[in-house]
Amino acid sequence: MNPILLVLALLAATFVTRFSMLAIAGRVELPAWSARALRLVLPAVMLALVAPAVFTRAGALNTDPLNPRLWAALLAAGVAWKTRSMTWTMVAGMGVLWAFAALAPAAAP
Amino acid sequence: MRSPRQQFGDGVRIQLPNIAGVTPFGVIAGALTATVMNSAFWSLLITGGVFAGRAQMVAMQLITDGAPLLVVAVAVLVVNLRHLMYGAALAPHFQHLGWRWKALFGILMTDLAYAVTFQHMERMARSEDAPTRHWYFFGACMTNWVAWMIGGAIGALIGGQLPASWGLDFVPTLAFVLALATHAWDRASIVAAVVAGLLSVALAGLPWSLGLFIGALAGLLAGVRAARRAEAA
Repeated sequence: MNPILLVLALLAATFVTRFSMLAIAGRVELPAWSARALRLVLPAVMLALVAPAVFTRAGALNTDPLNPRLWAALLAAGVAWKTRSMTWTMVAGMGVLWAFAALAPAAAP
Repeated sequence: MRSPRQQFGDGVRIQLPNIAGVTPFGVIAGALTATVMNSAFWSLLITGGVFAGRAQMVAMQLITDGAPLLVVAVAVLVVNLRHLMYGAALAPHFQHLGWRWKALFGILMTDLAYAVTFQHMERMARSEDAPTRHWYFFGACMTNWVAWMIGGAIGALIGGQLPASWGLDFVPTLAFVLALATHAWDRASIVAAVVAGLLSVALAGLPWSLGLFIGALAGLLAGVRAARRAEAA
């Protein structure tokens, strides 16, 4: 594959999705319901990112109650809610993950 | 009002802990790309210029499978569709800016930049800091980009990969957890999140991160519906 064409294609396909909404804002009248919808972007997209990372493994459902990522995410959520700190959230989440790996290597992340 | 310099610094600081996940992901993406393209130069250019980790991994997988350029481009477009939603949500904050800023953010916008900055951007919009808030976003974006490029360069030059047992791919997920934990939850948000979460897990096996996009979009629509119903009641 021609690397120049590949880079241009990747750039175009990425830039279009990131730039288009920023570009048309203010020029196109957005419908009234859109303001309400925009406030729901965060919960919808973030949970669509988090849920598969926690509950699936290699594309398959993981219902193991001792799933290290489940407990890491839950404790991190509690710490995040309490501290609102990115650093402490990561310390809590990765701490749980690594504690599982140290105590039960079979359940490693 | 906070100066552009202070805002940029705030943006850097809020994003700093994410380096722990971004740089290793850059190493992996850079190493894979250098292997597939058989060139450290093209790996660096793709890693730094495209700045879209998921899309890059998908593209490299497809190229390895022998997919034609058009298929690769369409797949990357689909993987990046969620940025339309981020763009729409952030657009009001950048409306007062010229096209140069918007184009810059069209290159630098990422999941992490949105997740980490959005709530503070909304708060600042109603404060005296509003006119300089794009510098905050810019600081968060640049921290991400530099961390990503350091990883990409290491990956491209050394070609090695970090052990999967470290679980560093989970670091960005924790940043998304923080965004969720500090969200102002109402009924519509809960409906949106539950639908998005269930569908994205159910569709996790689909290629090109399609499950993520379909789940998020369905969640968004379900949330809008719930909000409308609550207003009608």
